[in-house]
Amino acid sequence: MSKSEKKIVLKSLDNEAFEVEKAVALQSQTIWVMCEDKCVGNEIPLENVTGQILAKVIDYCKKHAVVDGDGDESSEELKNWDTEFTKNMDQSTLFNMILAANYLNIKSLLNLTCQAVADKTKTIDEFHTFLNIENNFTPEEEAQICQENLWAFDD
Amino acid sequence: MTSTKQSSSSLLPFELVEEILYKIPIESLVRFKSVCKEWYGLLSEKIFIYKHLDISNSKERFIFPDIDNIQLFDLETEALVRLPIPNEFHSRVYSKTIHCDGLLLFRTYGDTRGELAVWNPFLRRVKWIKQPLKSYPEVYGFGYDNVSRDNYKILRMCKERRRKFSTEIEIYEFKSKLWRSVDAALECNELLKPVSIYGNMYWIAQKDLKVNLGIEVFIQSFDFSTETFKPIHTECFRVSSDDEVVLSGFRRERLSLLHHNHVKIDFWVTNKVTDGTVSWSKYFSVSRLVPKLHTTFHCSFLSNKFKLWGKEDGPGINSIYVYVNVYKMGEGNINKQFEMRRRVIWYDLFRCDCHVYVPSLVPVPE
Repeated sequence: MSKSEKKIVLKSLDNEAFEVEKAVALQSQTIWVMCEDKCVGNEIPLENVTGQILAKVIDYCKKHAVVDGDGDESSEELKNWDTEFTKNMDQSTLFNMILAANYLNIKSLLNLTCQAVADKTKTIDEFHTFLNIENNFTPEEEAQICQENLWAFDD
Repeated sequence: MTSTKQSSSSLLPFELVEEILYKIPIESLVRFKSVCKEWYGLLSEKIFIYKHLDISNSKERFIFPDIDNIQLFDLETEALVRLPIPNEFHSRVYSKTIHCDGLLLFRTYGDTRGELAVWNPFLRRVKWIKQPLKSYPEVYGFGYDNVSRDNYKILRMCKERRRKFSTEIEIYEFKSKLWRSVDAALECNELLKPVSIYGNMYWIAQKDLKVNLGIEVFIQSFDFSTETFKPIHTECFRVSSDDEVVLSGFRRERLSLLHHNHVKIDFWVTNKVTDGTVSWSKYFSVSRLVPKLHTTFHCSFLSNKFKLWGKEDGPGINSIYVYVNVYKMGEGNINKQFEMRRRVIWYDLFRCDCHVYVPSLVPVPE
């Protein structure tokens, strides 16, 4: 295959088009299946991902397409790149990245973004706020759970 | 309480929230039970608990008991967490610790019964197990069979004093709450440094060779599914009686062995213990000596660097502290990374073992 045949166009929810190498896009199992099925042309519509998020996903895939298969040093470098990649993302971007990684079925990106949320969210209140989860315990139930794990709430 | 329902307005579907929770270390996860009913339900589910354990199995802690707390050193973040030891452990001496799935098995002294305790330091309950009063038990094992992972079993071996070389072998099952005799042949005179991997037991074993040939050191295993012993030979390295040999788990399903012979440290690893035939290959060597390091070593493999822990008694016999130093070890060099210490106490008869430990939410079996 020549280089040009390997290009593919990804179209975001808000109609932004990204031309990428097929090898880059195929890290997404979802896109891989779409290409295998041959039910799409050279342009793949991604109805669940905005252009802003898709751009980041493509950055990730580009980086990982280039370095994969190399020696130990580059895997260390890749790890550092991953850390930098998620470091300054706010919670809302991270959640959208998780949703995109899940929809596009890119396992390593899903792992990375879930890990980033796990690392950044330290308190119960943060989970309530960021994930918009309601504390649905009765005060009695909550007291009982705190009692069970008393030591964990010391500091 | 059910975990299948999703909090109505949550920003992420529940299965993705679950993915995030798999990444959270147990120290924090315990607190997150009180986020909402759905999380409480999920964090109490066996499927979640074991999947979390299997995912976090490479995230080893180093565990070191103090007088009224247990110190846990996270090798990756270098954070030290102290967990209180339950009151019922106080004024007892506990030893012969074995770790399996985040549960710790202790043999306790300080009372006439010499009971066994199973404890998860992250959950508050302790299960006490009475032992049949027979001869003095010397070796224990802790694991599970391949039928059900949460049917934990304890193995105990008593040397029958009247009949030399005869060993009485018994298994306790948590489901039946009974001890029963096991008819298994065991050929060795010492079983040291127990390690539980993948539900089965491994020890460093010694066997007297024929006249003037000294002792043979090898690995003895016990399979909780077939209830048989099986030796793993170690012909590839010769161990003399002065050498320090330490057995440890390596990346969940392998064994590692550290051989320290006063000139160098060799680090060996096996293939997967589940493969059938287990063989050794040398991972690396360090030729520099670790100062005053003795008694125990433990090894772990993290982010392409090896870490080695050594227990070191304080300067002089009358030292009031026991030290545990954490060393970072790689090809060719060793650096001290962290030091833990605790006071020596009057009943400090026990070998205050330091252990590689992977925390879990596995409930203490009833």
